[in-house]
This record gives sequence, structure tokens and C-alpha cells, in this order.
Amino acid sequence: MKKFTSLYSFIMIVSIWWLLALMDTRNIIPTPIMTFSYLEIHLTTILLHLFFSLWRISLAIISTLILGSTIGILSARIGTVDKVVTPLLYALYPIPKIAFLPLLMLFFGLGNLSKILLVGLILFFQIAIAVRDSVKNIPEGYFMSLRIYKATPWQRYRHIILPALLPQLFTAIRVSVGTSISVLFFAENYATTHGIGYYIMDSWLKLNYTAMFSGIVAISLMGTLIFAFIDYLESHFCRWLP
Amino acid sequence: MNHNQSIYTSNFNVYYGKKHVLNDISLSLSANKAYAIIGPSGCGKTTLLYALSCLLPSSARTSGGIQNDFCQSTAIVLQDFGLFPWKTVYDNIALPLILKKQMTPARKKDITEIIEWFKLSDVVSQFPSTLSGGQKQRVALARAWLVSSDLLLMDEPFSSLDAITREILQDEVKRLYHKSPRTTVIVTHSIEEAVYLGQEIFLFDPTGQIVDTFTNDSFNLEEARDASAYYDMCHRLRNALREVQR
Repeated sequence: MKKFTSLYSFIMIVSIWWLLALMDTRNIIPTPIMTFSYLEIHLTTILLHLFFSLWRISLAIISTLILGSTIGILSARIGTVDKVVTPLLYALYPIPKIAFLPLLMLFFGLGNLSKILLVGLILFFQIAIAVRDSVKNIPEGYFMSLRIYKATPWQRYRHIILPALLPQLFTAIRVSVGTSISVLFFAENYATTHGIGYYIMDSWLKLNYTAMFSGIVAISLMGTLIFAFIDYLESHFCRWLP
Repeated sequence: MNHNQSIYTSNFNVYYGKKHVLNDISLSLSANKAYAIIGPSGCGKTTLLYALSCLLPSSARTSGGIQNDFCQSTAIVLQDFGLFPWKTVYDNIALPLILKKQMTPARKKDITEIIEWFKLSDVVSQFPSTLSGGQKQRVALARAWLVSSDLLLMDEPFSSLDAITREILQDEVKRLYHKSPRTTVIVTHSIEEAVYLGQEIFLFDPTGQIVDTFTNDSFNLEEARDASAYYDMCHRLRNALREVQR
């Protein structure tokens, strides 16, 4: 059933796209067939660019997962940490992180690190806040049940906190991955010759709209891939969810 | 199980900030007897349970004496079952042994026996969300029973169950108690439950004081629910409770 829904959405998108391409009298929008055949011919190039973007985004997700969850858990469990961290989170969260890109570039160079940090900054706040809230919402009864059996602090994390925060963590990742791909696209326009963002912008500047569209298709496929992977992880680690 | 173990409190008080939750509690619980605690809601029954399980939060202030031999060997069944939704029925039951790293073949056999006793064999690999309320409470009871503790505390364990399931589980608890007696304390707001499961019944008033203690003769009767002693006890308790709430 799930396969059919994705097929259905694919058909929908392609047919609307096709319609727009036919209506476009200035021949800016390439037809899906043109795009897909271009994609097929230049597959290795596009895959290479995609690989760079995927690598940057994975690194950003993994590092913020570790950092954001740690901050979130500490803030939920330790009152003094909460008093220091929460005002900071609230003050910094609304700032458009893209405004930090020039600063990040100045401090961390023009290379990969500043790009990964930018994506990480976006993910960090959503993950930290989601984790903090989900840990705060764990009913006291769970801890009571463990305390009566003399659980160690580590066992508290292992048997309550970690499993309890996972569902909201997955939601937070899903919500923020979309934003971070868009921002990565922006960051990849500077000081790099690799990455799907670079590829799309480069094709645009060369007025090669077919290449640009294959880049867009590729970025969408990358997103789908990441979401599918997150879904897979969730179904594996949260088998208990109804 | 040590038959000389017990709990004594003398003029025991608990405060949360300025709130006086338990008021001059003097009671003695002897080994392997079944006790029931009843009183209007908000009278500190649950706080007493936590005190008996040595689990009072650090924010609670106490005065008076409490001597508790059971601190190291207590099991508790909570009103909301205390099950972990992310653990299967089996892992929920085995949790105390997993925590203590005691999953030996002999103990695993105990787990299987407990699961069979509580008729949970068909659902061992399911998650709690797929169980009925009665099954969830069976899991919680199985877990508490598995640790073979000296003291079993139950905090309104059946209050969220329908009447039929509640009676079945009350019967099961009583059968287990008779099979392997241990000190049992049940906190309840149901008169019938207190009389059915309490050999001795403590009545609380809204200020957190024990105002009366009843010795319940109907406890050891077969088919106690049909016995006139049971009805008499319920009647006495109901009158006393009414008096307290006045």
C-alpha cells in the first residue's frame, strides 16, 4: 500500500510538471523526459554532487543529535542547567541561522566545516527543545518504578529516558531535515565546487535549465531517501509505537 | 523471607513545604500480614506508601520515628501500572532482574512460571499498548511478585479497571497471598476492596491521621464476599468513613 502511495505522488508531480512544461511557451521548463534522460546521462556527476551534500547533512545530523540530545536531557533533568540553557535556547532559536553564515565562514573557513555548522545550528535548536520537552514530560511513575528496584543512574537513562525521548526526537529530525536541506543548498553556493546546491546554481548560471531540473529532482530524491531512512530507524527503534 | 521483619512508626510526620501530609502516624506492620489503608482522597495514603517503600522524595521533611526492615526488599504496584510502553510484556516483567543483572537460567524459569500463573503466555512478546487494562495490571502484579520481595505495596491498583476484571484480579491477589504470604499493603478508596484484601484496615481522615484500625475477621474466610462477616465489616467501615468525612 505504501509503495502505491509513493508511486501515486510521483505520477502526480510528474504530470503537473509536464503540464507546466507544455504551457511554458518560452521553453524554460524542460519536460520530465528531457530531465530524466539528462539525469541518466550525467548520473555519475550528479551522484558525486549528491554524495557531497549527503555527507555534509549526515555529519550535521549526527553531531547535532549527540549535542542537542545531551543539552536537552541535561536541561530537562537538572534545574540549574535548565535555568541557564532555556533562556539561551529561546533567545537564539528565532534568529535566522543563515545570517550566521558570514560569521561561520570567517571563523571556520570557507570549507566544509562552516557549511556543516550552519546546518547543525538549524537542527540543534529543534532537537534540543524537542528532547528537553519529551524528557520533561516523562511521567514520574516511570522513575518511581525504577527507583524501587534500585536502578543506577545509567539504567535510568537506558530504560526510561532514551526510549521515551525517541519518538519526539524522530519527529524533530523529520521537521528540521527539510529546512536544513534548503539551507545547505544556500550554503553550497559559496566556496565549493561540489554539492547538489552548487550543481543547481551552476547550471542556472550557465542557463542549462535541464541540468538545473535534474539537480532539483536529485535533491528531492535525496530528501526522500533521508526521510525513508529516518522512518526505517523509527520503525526499528520504536516498535512499541501503535 | 524473614518472619521477624516488620515496620514500626511512632508519631511519624511528613511535610511537603508547609503542607502537613502525614500526621502523627503510629503503626506497626508485622511480617506476612495483609494490610489495607483507606481514607478520603488527598489524605496522604500514597505518601504513606512512599514512606513505607523508603521512596519519599528529597523535598519531603519528616519527623518522628520510622523503623523499616523492608527497605531493601520492596515491590510496588502503581495505579497507572508503572509499565514501560517501550518494553514487551516479558521485558516489563523481567525488568527487576535485568536491572540487578540476575537473568540466570533459574530465574528465567521463575519468569516463565509467573507468566503462566498470571495467564500472560499469549501476550509475552506484545507491547503494553496492545493489552487491556486487566492484562496490564496482571503484568504489573507479575513483575511485583517476581522479585519475591518481603513487602508488596499496591497503590489503588485496581481503580481503573471495570468491576468484573477488578474482582477477578482481587481474587488472584488473594490466592497468591495465601500461596506465599508476604507483608502486603494496599491503598484503596474502595470499602469492599479494603475489606476483601486487608487483614487489618487503617482508616485515615482528611488531615492525614490514622483515626481507626479494624481487625477484619472475614479476611481468611473462603468465598469471603458471600460471608456475613464481610458485609458487617463493610458496613462498619462505611459508617466510620462517613464519620471521618463529616
